[in-house]
Amino acid sequence: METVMTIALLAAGLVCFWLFYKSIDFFDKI
Amino acid sequence: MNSEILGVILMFGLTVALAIPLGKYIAKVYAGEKSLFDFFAPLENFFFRISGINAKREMNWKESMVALLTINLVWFLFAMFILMCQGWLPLNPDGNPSMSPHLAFNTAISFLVNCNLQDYSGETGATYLSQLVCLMFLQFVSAATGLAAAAIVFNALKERTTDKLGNFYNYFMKSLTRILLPLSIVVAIIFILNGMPMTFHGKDKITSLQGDTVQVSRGPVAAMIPIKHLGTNGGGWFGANSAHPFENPNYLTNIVEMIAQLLIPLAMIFALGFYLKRRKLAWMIFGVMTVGFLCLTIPNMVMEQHGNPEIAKMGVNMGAGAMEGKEVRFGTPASAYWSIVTTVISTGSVNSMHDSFMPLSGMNQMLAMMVNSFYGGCGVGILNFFIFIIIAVFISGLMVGRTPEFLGKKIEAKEMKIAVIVTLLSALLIKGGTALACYLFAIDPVSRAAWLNNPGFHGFSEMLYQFTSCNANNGSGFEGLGDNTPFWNITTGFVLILGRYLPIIGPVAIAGILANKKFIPESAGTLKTDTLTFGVMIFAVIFIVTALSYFPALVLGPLAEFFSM
Repeated sequence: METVMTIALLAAGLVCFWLFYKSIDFFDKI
Repeated sequence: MNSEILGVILMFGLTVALAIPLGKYIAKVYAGEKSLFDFFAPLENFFFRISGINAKREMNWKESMVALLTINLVWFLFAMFILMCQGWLPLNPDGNPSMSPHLAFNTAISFLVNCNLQDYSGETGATYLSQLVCLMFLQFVSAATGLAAAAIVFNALKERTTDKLGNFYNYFMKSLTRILLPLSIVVAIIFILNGMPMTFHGKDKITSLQGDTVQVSRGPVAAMIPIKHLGTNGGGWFGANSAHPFENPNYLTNIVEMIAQLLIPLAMIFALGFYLKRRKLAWMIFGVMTVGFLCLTIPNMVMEQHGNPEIAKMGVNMGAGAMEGKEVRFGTPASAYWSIVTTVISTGSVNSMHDSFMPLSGMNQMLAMMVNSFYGGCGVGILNFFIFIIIAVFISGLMVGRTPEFLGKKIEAKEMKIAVIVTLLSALLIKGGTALACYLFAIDPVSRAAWLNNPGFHGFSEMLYQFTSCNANNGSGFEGLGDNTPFWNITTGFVLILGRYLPIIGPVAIAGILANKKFIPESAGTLKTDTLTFGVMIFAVIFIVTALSYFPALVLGPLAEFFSM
């Protein structure tokens, strides 16, 4: 259970950072 | 005049007096001029060389933000690893366990984003290694990240047309070596001389006067506490934060900690003025922020000094004010002052328990975080205020029928869209998070959502405060909330990370886009932005935006509690 939660939370963090990278282009083209 | 109030006035005056020369120095550092700590240059070059970074290469705003996000992503992974493995890593004399995944997720993000919300107690939940190598490291680099982002905005607001805004890594490294590190060393020496522990030995055993044996936690506290305040971090070594006698031994250290946390946010305002050679603009910004700060501070000091009428009804003397949750050695005025200082900027450290303040004092603490730009955090405070400047310029332009311009650059639809997105994001995160917590509590208040000790209006305030604190990257809390649960650790983790990076990327994007526009010299038709009138306009914009966004939520919590007393 702990391993699954760790992987899920790490993945969630990575997705957040991916969104922030995308927001750079979004703000540039808005 | 009450000597305690006089002490607070002197403390604020001294902070402003120190912030002006520091602002001048910071402007010099970011302008690349010769300064006192240039001897750090070989060390900086060494780090750049081993990292393969060319610190002289000019970046545009997009490249700067990619650099900022990339190093932050690496620190996130690093922090998760350390916190989840701390139990079997060295420097753990007290044998503390590793963090659970959701607590590590919350703590890693919390320190990464300069918030330092702590859903653990430092004595039992962290080790010396994790506190020093992970948490204290993040306290330095997260503050430097905010300062570097502000430096990019400063550069973008110069009177010229360019997309070259300096090098993010250069600003970042200089923020560390020439601002944060030297100041931290000076403050650490003061703390050590005043009895703050600095040891790698584990818990000490003492025998009390009654003959009981007590285990007393300690550690290299004096290393962490200076950057905790100078970097507007707020994460304490001990669970009680600066109410703990080892983390804040006496009234002198209390003064130093209060000055330290306010110093750099104030200095950044003056640094903007010196950097752009627009001192009048800096004084206007300082004036607006200070009026907002005083509007929150003075009522808090008065309310706390008057004491709690409900406790007075029990026959308890309220001569010393509302002392529940406050340290006798600091008293009500200094505690009330600290509570607003720590919430207007994003420190979130406490020398008293905010949960015990009077309802309207608690509301002011929340308002300070909801505005989040009356001084604001290390570097990011000025970025948050920049958003309000853009909105105020745009509205003023519409009102007087002129093209909105700020420092010779036209404000158009694109900049306004970004400013509005960033502004509305805060309200969405705070109220959305609180609504979700209330919904879950309403379904199952006894077992799965049993996180409230105060189920009434105050319980609502506790949940609202928690999400407000996370969105503002503040980190303080109404500690009656049982927050070390998967729900709170994960949801506030998301609010923390979303409330940090988009409000940095947004203002930097606006500044970068403005820098690329044609510079229009000031003329008779230019709307002056360094005047008292424009200052009043910005204050009105902040007041209206905050009232529209948060007044209904505040009515349900602290205001309802106040009227029910």
